Amino acid sequence: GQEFHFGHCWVQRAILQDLWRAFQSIRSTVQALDNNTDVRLLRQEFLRNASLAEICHLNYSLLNFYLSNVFIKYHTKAEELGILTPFTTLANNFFAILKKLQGCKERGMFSLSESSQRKFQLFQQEFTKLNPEVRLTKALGEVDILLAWMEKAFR
Amino acid sequence: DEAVHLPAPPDLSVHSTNMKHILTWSPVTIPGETVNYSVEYQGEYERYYTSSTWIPSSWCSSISTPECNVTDDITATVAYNFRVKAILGSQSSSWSTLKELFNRNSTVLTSPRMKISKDGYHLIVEFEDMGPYFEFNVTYWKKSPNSQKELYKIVREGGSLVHLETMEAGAEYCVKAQTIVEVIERSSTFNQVECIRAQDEFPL
Amino acid sequence: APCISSGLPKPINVTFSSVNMKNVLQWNSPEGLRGTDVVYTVQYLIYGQKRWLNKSECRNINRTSCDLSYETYDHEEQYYGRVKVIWGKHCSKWAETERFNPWLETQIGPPVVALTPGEKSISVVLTAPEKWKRNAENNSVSMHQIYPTLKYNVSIHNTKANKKWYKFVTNHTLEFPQLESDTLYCISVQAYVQGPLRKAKASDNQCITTLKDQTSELKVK
Repeated sequence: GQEFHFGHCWVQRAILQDLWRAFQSIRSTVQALDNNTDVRLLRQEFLRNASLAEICHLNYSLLNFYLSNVFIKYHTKAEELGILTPFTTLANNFFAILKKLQGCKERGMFSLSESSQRKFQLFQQEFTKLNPEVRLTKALGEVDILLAWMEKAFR
Repeated sequence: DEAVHLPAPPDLSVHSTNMKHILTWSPVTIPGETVNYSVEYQGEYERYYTSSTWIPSSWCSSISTPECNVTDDITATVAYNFRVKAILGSQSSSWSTLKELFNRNSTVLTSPRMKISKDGYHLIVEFEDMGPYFEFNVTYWKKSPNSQKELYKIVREGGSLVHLETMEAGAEYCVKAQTIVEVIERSSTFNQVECIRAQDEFPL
Repeated sequence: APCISSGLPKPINVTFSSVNMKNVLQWNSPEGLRGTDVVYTVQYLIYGQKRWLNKSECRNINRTSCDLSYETYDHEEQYYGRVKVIWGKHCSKWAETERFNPWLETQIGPPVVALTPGEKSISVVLTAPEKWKRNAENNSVSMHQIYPTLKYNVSIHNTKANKKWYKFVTNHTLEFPQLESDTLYCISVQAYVQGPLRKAKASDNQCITTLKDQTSELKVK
């Protein structure tokens, strides 16, 4: 099978199939609500000269952040927008990936690198500068960037 | 008129084969009335992060048959719960839920239906289209008294004729296959071996 | 002098059309102004940056498309395009595209397919489609470099037996041995990338006849 590689941990590449399909169906709706086009949270320079391990660690931190800070607060809005089914697909697949990686982390199979932590903090700072509803919409509208970064982590 | 006691639909369970998931329950019967049902689901994300919110099923918000195709609702390899209630006019029963949570990695995988054919010396295989999750691991070999070197190829999707091997004139080739569902990290058993003989030298 | 933003109707269906990262902004003229001598002006924005930028070659143009390939060359960035109608001193409001992600949305063009017939074989050489080039002298960037999982789905149709089958390949040369001689085969190739669903255009059908069987020719003589 084909997996993507998080440090010493493997996640089935096929999981991205469900993620892309779900995101493609909400992309227009969510991105159209983001009028702050002068702010990009997941910036390209986070990946510039980043090692595979760094990309993986950053993805891990972002997945965790999305579950605890983005999806959880956007549930009602997703219902209003009529995108609850694809939204819960994204959330549950993020949960499945994180659960697998959590196990690896607990077994000490990968540790978060300092530079990926710094980049993650940059992301968090940019995120908290925005007003609550704007940042949730923007973060959700940038899931294609996160999925593209996960594609890069595919072995 | 006096409200009828509407029991919660009993015997809720999921039957899953080849990543098609059907939720069934025993019907609630009220003489002379048509009872409808409403289905909702939640994944592990909803249970852990959102204090157990429930999500209306894609296709079964008000149906009259005691079953629901929940394939489009189960789109992650996590444990799902379902609940169903009976509805009669303005009255609703209480919810009944699954006794055991359902994870799609428990789906029954049957061996794939396969057709082998040839175009001259070319061995061709075709599988039924089983949906986006399915790939096919094809094992094939040339029959010969002494050795039987097995080769294998992954066929990405069903529904089209795929070239497997260029055969030697007059030789017999045998094929067997299993499905692979990477997203649940499982595969089916192999199907029945099928063999075909390549044509002899091209007639002059 | 800047135009007066009045009630002129905006352009409609403003989208990017993209093949191998050649990214063209296109639109339709608004209902009420069809046939009139209006002109259009285009701007673009790199998502995450503050200012909308002008495209000088697409200022006051009367066609309804504008090639922004140069400006949207970095396929890891995302972009917006916008266009407005100008009629005399008056102009409409801007009409914007959705956010455009070239990496996700570009259609992958077909490879270049070269066929060489043998007596009972056909050799196929594929040249990966290339990313749009800023200028001819620049080195080519193959779409294979952008999409490392790029593969090819080769279809071959035996017109005599009327059988068509497919072969998935990753390398750029392949041979179909053991074919029938003096037979017309038609071949078409489509690029395929794992991951998000992407549009991909198949190459035009190319038909070629395998050579006559020399041995039988000699025997007949």
